[in-house]
Amino acid sequence: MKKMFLSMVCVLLIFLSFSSLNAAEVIKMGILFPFTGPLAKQGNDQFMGVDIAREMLNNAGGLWGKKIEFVKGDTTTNEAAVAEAERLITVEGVKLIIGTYSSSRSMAASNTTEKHKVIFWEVNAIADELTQRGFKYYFRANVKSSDYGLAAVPFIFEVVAPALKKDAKKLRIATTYEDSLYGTITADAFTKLGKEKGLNFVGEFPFTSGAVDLSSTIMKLKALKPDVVFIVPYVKDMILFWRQSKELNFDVPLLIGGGTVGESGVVEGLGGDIEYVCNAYLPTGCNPKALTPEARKDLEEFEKIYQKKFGTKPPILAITGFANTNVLFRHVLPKAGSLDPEAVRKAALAVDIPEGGTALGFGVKFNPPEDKMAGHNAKAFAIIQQYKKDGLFVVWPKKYALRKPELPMPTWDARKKK
Amino acid sequence: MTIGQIAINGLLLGGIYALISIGLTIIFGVIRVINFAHGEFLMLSMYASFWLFQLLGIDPYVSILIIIPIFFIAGWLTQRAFIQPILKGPALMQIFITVGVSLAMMNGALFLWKADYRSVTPSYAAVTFKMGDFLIGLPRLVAFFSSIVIVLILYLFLKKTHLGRAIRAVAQDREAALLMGINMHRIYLIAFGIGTACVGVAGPLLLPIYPVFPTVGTYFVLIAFVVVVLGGMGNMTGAFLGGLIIGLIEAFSGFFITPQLQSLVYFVVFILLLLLKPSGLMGVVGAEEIGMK
Repeated sequence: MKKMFLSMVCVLLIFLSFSSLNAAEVIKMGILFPFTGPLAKQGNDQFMGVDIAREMLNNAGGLWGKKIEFVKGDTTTNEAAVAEAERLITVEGVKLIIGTYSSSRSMAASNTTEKHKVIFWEVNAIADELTQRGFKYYFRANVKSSDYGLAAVPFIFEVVAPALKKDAKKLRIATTYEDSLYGTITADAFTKLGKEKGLNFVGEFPFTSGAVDLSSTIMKLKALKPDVVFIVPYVKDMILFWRQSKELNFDVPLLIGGGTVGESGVVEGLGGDIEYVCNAYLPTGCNPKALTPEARKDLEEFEKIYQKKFGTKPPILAITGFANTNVLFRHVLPKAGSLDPEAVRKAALAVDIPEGGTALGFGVKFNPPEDKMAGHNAKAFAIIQQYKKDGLFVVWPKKYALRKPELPMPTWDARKKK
Repeated sequence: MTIGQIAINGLLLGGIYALISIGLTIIFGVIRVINFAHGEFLMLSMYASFWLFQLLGIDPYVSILIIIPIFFIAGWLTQRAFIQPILKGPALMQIFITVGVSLAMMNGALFLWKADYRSVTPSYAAVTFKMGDFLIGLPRLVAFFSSIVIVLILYLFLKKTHLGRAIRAVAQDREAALLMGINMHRIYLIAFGIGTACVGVAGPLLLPIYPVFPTVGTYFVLIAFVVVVLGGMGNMTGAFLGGLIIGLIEAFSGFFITPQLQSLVYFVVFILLLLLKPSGLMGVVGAEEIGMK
């Protein structure tokens, strides 16, 4: 009796497993983002943008008559990133993975994807190193961290020095940054380019992200009396840094961030104190006149869908996730004809979108595998934003700007009087 | 003068560490359980204070009065539901279960409230006192003095009340306490409740300083363990002094060496102390074998 029952259950299970083989109607793509852990907020924010890109594509008929379905992997830590990439490829059988917000996670997971010759489509992580490995199946549609330095340095020469009424080479510049891949590479790129152009660097102060006290760093900066501080933190570090700067009365004429200072969470944590702080970033939210009509239309549709789903305007990370995934969905995959990694590679390398052609404002052209920066979008560039009373706006270069830069930043005493 | 300011920064930071560690050392000292969920109780108390402020407009410092009884009960229930059933088992199982509680709490918070950073900015959050050349932030000063007050209250409770004496008896010698007719399990429930209530007080005091998000506890809990062992497991004054010492070490090494090596320096001090006096600064000899017996 028991044996018969067990064998009936087995037969039933076999039939059930056959039904899942009927997946011919959907195309599976892998997703790797930090949905839990210390980067959970950023991972979830960005994935929402990527998911809307999928929705928009499915509403327009999908790819080759089939709908796109995501298989999610959670990159809580670097170790988890590797394990999840392995699982998505070997167990779920995906040929293409979109991810992953964080440079460290991307570095970890993409070693696995390159080994299996699976396409890794990076929508956000900016560390230069990611595209210095000569990988053939790794594509990064976004800016690289050195681009933030490349934008900040001319900004200092053209805007900051005149505003502070000093010779640019006499300005005292300090950097402070979180000590993982993202912070170190971004700060180093800025320092290297700055020194090449003759800027005067008075100090470098790395810290560990998640530190519960940054007073030592601030005290050291205070002692140096810098004119410009270039900061590359994660959001929670930025909140603590600026709050403690207020507490310890650390005044600086310009605080400029290397990317994450523009992410959501900063305004919520700092309120009005964030006004006047600048940030180097992708051209997200730039003057719409700088975009092509097609890019503008996609961006508007994305913002409409996001607003309807979540009731708010999309955060910057979601826009980035959407725009860079859209490059894949709109320009690469249709040309590739299938998800075969070789076909996708060829199609990606053939893409050539002019400036203003993506929702983020830059064009797209990927470097070939022989290039020093293989797989990087050579047309991506950064701009400078500044926090105003009513939001974060592009202030430089003029072509992309919606507002004018206002420098120097007021002192804490002056802020209290406002 | 910079050195003076660094010392003040260090003491204020140490006060925060002490605040978080007091609850942990009570649980350690009495129940002899390593509560890995301690940081998550801190996170939950910060969230509790945040939601009370956000939804009902209750100031964080006032919310302490509401949070103390709630967290006492939460600690009691945690001890009853998770720890009491496996007290007879190997110490490792007790550790695993608190790790499990910690993960459940972290991911529960993530599920309920998402990963956004939540802050409160009550009017006093940015108030800074200027004493001569020195700057002292009000919320940190309040946290510092609160840790002193808590240590005093608990000291009086343990020394002067009958229940306090019973708790000290269980901490000193479990078997002898049983022979004296003390209900050991009831004492454990009360101790876990007190320990959790202490960290429940820490949450609202920290909320004006740090934003809360599901993993915020993990940044404090490791330091809390260091402070507890440094001060002597089960000794509250030790936890207070240990917190101050770690805070000062961090502040000075951060300025004179480099902020990145702050943790290295205090861990080195910690290791040296353990080699020379394993029971901690003020601990009872034999307490260092917690979890082995």
